[in-house]
Amino acid sequence: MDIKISGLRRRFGRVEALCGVDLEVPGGMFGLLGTNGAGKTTLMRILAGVLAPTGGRVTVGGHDLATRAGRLAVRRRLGYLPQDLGLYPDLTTREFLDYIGLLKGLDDDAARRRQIGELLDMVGLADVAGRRLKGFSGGMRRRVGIAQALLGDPALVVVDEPTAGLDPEERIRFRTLLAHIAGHRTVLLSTHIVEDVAQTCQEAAVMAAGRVVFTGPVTGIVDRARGVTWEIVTQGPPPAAGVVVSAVGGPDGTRYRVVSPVRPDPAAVPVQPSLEEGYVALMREAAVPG
Amino acid sequence: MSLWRYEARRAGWPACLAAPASLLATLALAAGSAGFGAPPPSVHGVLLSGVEALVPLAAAMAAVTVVSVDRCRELQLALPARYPGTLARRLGIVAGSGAALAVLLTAVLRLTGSWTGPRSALASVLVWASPLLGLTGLALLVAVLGRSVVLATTTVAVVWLCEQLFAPVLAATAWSRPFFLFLTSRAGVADGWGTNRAVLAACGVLFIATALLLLRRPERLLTEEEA
Repeated sequence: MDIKISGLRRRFGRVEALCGVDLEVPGGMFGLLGTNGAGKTTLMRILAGVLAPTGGRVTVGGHDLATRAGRLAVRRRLGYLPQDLGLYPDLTTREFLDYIGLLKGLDDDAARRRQIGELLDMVGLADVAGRRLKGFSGGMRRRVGIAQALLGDPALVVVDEPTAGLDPEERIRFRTLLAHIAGHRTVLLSTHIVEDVAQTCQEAAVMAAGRVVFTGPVTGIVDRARGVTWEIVTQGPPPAAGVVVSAVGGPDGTRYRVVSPVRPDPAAVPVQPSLEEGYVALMREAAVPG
Repeated sequence: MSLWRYEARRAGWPACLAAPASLLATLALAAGSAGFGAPPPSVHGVLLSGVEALVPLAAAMAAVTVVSVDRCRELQLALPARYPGTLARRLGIVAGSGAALAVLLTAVLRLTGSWTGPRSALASVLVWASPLLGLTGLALLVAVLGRSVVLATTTVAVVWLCEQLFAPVLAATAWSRPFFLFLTSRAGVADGWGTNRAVLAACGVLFIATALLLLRRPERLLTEEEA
């Protein structure tokens, strides 16, 4: 289910959260990277039909989100996991999924219950299906969230910052789950965690200040830092030029990796960049006026 | 049926208990006034006030909670089921329970000879239904416009309290009489009672229709923090 966005704008009072976003999302897993405040959540909400755009055009699977019929058609084929997923604490996991299933129009009781059982197995929550959602950990809540998103077998799944705040083990588990469900559908993963995109997506876009500053293969982000990524081992202070991406202390001194358009220190040597360094290079480019 | 059961739980215990609480409060006030030696007509007046004033107030406060509080609002807005429809089901449960209790109380009062309101069955429904519509409609509109529980409950409480405090003036003044919520219990079924009930009901329908119109833009329901 492809997504086509052109000239998308969204304004909140005097603040322009999206200022002319152009983006095409093909099928499969697609990453949307950006710092907090870049406009990712606003874009996700517009795609989910929660917010209306101020201007521009969005079509999802050929349905125009500007029309009521288009929004309804998209919602019927959409699974959405919002950034702040509140759960109803008085419901059990199974009841919550049953309720959401009913609201998604899954009226056949037997089929709905069968699907809920399968999803609970898939997300590893079958053992706590009868437990109230009150007191669930962050990871468990996200897994409930992805299970509800998958109810009705949607063609498009939009997940907003799903791994923020999770411990490493739970994050890896969740990433694997997302990659698994992307098999026959479009999964749009919005995150500020570069590693999540590196581990799950082949295609990605990067947003900064309400604009898309990069779109293409994930390797293309890495390429942005080629020739501008340096490593230096020193016992002195960190290099003043560029952005220090990592600093690892050792017996010989601290090993810094720096993204800088100029050699930050005579002793610095060029190195192969990582995705994170590519992302930092992109952000620096985006921050330069003009 | 399952969906209605879930919506009743979503409306929440405070909303579902508001109507029974107003009924209990009415009975407690009546018992209290009887206990202090008030004559039967005064006790009957207290019971009529409960039906006309407390049941609508409880329903309006519950309506505010239903519209303003939902932990999964953002998710709900992205579902194929239209969220205003979901809210309407919850409001229906709240209003329905309030109406059922009001009808029950009215019937009991009529059977026991304690009813001092209008004689006809339809008119006795309007004793509570018109202020319930008016006050609930106002509550809904303010909740949707202000996106704030505090603002909506405060508005309802202030209107209710002011009408109680200035009842003699409001009931006696020509321009305010049609909008006075407690005309039956404060002035009886006298001149202009029918107009008053019709105006209150019409205002309620107008407020509810406006609120529903505003809800066509679902983001109206997101609070400032959520947006």
